[in-house]
Amino acid sequence: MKLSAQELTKSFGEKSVLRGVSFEAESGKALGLLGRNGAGKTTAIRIIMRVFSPDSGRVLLDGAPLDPNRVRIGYLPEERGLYPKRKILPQLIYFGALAGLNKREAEQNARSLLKRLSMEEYADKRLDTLSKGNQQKIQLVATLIADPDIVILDEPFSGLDPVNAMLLKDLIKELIGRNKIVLFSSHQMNYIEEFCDEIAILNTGKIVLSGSIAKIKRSFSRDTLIIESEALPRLKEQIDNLPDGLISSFEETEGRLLIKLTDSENKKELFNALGGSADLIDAFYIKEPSLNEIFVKYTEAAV
Amino acid sequence: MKQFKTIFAFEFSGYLKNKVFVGLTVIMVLITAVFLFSPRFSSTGSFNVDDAVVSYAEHIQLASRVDYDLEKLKSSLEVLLEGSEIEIVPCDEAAMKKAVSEGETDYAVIVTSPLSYKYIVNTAGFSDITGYEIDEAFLSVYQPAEFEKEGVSAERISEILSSEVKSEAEIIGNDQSSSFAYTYILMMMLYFAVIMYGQFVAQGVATEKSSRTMELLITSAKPVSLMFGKILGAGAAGFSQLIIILGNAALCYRLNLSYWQDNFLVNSVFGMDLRLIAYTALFFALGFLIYSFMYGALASLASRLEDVSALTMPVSLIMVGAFMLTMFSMLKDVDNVLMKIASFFPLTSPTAMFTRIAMGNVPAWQIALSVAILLISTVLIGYLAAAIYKVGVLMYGKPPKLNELSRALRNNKISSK
Repeated sequence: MKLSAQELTKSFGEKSVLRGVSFEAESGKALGLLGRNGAGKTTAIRIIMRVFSPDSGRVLLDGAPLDPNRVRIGYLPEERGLYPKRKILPQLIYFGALAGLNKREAEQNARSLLKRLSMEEYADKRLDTLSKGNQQKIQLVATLIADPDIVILDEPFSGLDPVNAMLLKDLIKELIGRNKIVLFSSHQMNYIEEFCDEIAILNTGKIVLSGSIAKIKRSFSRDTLIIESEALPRLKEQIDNLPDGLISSFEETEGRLLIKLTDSENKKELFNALGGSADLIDAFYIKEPSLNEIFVKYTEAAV
Repeated sequence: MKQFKTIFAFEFSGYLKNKVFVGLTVIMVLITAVFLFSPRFSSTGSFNVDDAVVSYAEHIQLASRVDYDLEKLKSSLEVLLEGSEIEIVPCDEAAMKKAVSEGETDYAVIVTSPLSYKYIVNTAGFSDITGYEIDEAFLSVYQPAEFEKEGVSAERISEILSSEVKSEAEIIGNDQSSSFAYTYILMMMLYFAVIMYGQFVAQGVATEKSSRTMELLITSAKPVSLMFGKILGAGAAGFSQLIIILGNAALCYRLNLSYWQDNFLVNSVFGMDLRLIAYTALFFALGFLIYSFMYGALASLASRLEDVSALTMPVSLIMVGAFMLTMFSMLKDVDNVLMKIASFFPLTSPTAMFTRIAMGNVPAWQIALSVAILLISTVLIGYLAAAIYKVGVLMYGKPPKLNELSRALRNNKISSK
């Protein structure tokens, strides 16, 4: 299955929040929707969820308009939404029943998910007696209770401690493994990098960058090299004596040498020049930009 | 439909598990039970309204400035004010005043002529009938004496004075003296039920919206099912509460029937006819629905719980107005012009028409017309409320102004085509 948003626009009064946003997500893959606060991520997600309709543009599933009655969608909203004063199990069953399960299925699914997230003991507690992180886990159960084909997670990691984050990570990996469409937004780039094959970076209502993370990274200039070695001083001496015009600068950071070439084509020449000291070198590789750097670069520049 | 049932069941069970709701029901049941069982345990055997509201002086001093037969007055008073102690004292106004202020006596009477007297009391109580009875006593001394002067025999005098008027009643409309009590009670219940359940609905809608539960719900349920499920859930809870309270009252009354035999007020409440009970149910249901639709729609515009009461204020005021008008009209004439108008206007007709049916004279066609107007208005307001709700629950920020709302409603109509 393939979920695609096409040219979505949306304004609230004078303020235009989305200005022609398109992206695609496929089964068995996770799409990370990145963006700074107020970039339009949640608005885009709410449009997919039909919380409100776009001013223009379409949301398609395999080419036909997305019909929430025919495909189950699990949604974890950024601002959590369950009944604080009601007991946990009954309200999970309620959400399951609304999504089309019968009562028995809903209860079964709720119990097994609660168990999975080690929350069974809270089944008869009121939601507002739980800690924030635990409420978040209950919210996740509500999201997944009807075994949805499309899972949309808005900032799923906020408020989780490392152990719970690990539980959630495993769960998301499992969803991807079970061929679900997973769409999630986060500010936490390390999580995005861990799960997502594809990203779309939103900035002030537009997609400023999208595609597979690997490709995006390769598209960045490959002119910075890292050399790891036990004998940095000796290597530095050699680099000092390199012919002019090969490298533009070099520095030692965190026990590694960071070398900036004048041109990425010079990589081979540098490699040959250092060839005589090959026994001193532990690693010699191109430094790829981190997702964080890419994010900052694209969202800062466009402000 | 399945969705509606799920929502209805969830909302209804929410009330049954709500401590405030259950507590209120239990308290109401207990209060009515205690009241209706009270004559079994009270010492007088029967709880009588007359005993409770009327009082008279326990000790009375009599004196006279003129030549007057105080003994005759005393014996007459002893009959009229049974249990009071009557004492004849020398005519000394200062001493009598002192006796009253020091509490030795409650009432000091100084006769100034056969038909006039002065009396001294500490405070004049609202329900005190001593003065009235003393007037009676004076007349009972004066009148026979005067007749006798004219030569009428003593037997003839007592015969004339004890004549009684007999009447036979044929009431074509309603007997307002007996319908007043239960109309009053039912009106109060109708008023409180509408206000209370309307507020429950409003709070529920606003809580779902402000806690963003709405965003989850709206992705799997239709807004119309959500609104109607919520309102009918509350309505069903309210109706069960009323049935429990009234059913319990009827049961307790039956169990204590013999103790209540002499009580006109209580008997009139439980003696109301079935036709009226049916009207009660009808006006309860329609009144509740029409108000709850408005409460639900208005609450959907609030982004924060704090905004709810301000937004729903106009609706509450209409209800209070309808209630006040009806209450005041009940004291004089329930078929006055204002009440006639109010009994056709859908927001006031549940209380106004109900009261006119119970206490006034309403032609059948007026009842039918009023119910028809109310029914049609309820359906129309239901539609409008659903449209507002659909847009309102997803509008965040300040509650919209009227023109913004109507624009949003139009846009929604176009986009849903």
